[in-house]
Amino acid sequence: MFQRNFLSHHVIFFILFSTFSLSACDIEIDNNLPDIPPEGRFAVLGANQHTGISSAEVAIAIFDDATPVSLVGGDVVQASTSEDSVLLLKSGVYNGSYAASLPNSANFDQVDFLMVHEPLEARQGRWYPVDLLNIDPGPGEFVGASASILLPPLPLNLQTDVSNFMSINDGFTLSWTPETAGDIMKVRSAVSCTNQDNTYTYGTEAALTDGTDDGSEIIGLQQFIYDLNDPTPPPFEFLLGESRAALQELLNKLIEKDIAEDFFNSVSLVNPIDSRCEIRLFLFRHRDGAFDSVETNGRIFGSRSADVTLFYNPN
Amino acid sequence: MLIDANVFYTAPDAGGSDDFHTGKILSVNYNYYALPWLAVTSGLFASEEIADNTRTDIVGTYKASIETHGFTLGLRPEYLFSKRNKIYGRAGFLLYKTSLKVEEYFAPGLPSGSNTDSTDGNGYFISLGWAHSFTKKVSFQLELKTLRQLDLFDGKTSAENVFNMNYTGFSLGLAYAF
Repeated sequence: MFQRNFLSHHVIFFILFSTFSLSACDIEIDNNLPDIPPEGRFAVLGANQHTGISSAEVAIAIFDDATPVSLVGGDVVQASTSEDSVLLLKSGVYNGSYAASLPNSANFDQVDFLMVHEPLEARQGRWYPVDLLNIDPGPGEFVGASASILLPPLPLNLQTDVSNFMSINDGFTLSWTPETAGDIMKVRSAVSCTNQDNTYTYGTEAALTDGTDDGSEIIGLQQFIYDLNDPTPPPFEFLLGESRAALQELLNKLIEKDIAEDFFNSVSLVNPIDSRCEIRLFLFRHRDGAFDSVETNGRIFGSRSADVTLFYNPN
Repeated sequence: MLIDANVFYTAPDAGGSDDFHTGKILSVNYNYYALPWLAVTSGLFASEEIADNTRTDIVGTYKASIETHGFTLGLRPEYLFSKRNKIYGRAGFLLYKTSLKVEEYFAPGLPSGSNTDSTDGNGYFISLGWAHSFTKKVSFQLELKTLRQLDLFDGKTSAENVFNMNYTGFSLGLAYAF
């Protein structure tokens, strides 16, 4: 609920990149988030919590006439559950985006965002005593703006009926415990293909037949493995933009170290269809939210995710 | 007795995310020989304003700089290994007064500003040098040196913000014996 007069003049938007804390990995940094209007103020705000991780990744970005808006002077977004809170101090992948991990071991569903002015906390990474040498320009126009999102339930009991494949014409049934809230399901993957000498990594966003939260989805392996020599475009989309950044950050968290910066943008040194591939498949339960103020222009959403691993060996 | 004057080239290190440029500290020492190989050394030092790298974070763009002066007292043992050359060491304690200045810039339309604070305290120093005599009275000296100032801003800020400042580098100097 954005609740400041400025909102009546400007619509503030929090951009949160689902699941993701868009961190300082060297993914292409620009403001090319999809569907950012060329004029006006626009924000996207999101949060994701992955199965087995006791924190939710939260992020926000604000654009003014498609230009990222930097928060300065100690203005910072605070994300909180009813037990914990965190300031979004880390720069995200995109200019004007900020991210953090919000502790949420109790799996609270509601995440609240509030723009606050914390001149000392925002300077906590500096080496000198910021309490003695504080230059405070005072709160900016965004301070006081707020919004809330609800995280959907975790996708429980995620599994596949087959996990080893020899042909891209194979398929499998992905199943999970369904919910009835009408959330949207999204399947993304991180694929690593290897031959004797080289490895090729990339990410895909699978095209699903319905994407509804009905507990199962029949998916062809062609949503993940493709033939470099086939002139026909693959049926999936390569992970780009915020989805790629989100999954990269999630992988960093899952393996507890940073994956290669070009993991989703590596050179195609092997042909996936002819190589052994490991497919880490992520199912996101995605729920769009709404800003309380009708004048707010932007996107707001929460998600929870789980993953399984599949193996492809054509030989 | 020996008086020496030195220019100390050093990049201060506050032990945090700081990244200081190299700066100069001028020192003058008076050395009184209690024994032929051992002198009591006392001196004064003063630095120029040494700047930290300008950087930008979520708050704004900021630049810190530091300026220090103080007094040293210690011992200087030395060993003459040829007619014109000797090696020597220096170690002792120091008293310092150090000023820290921060300038900060925000977005266009927001006022920028600067703030300065100072602190004093004690510390220690240690060095190893080589001296080459041009004449009986005048010699050149090259010295590797570390100055360590302890607990800057202790008592003025919270405990987690207190830090030590290290100055490590080399100095070039001239000495005059009389």
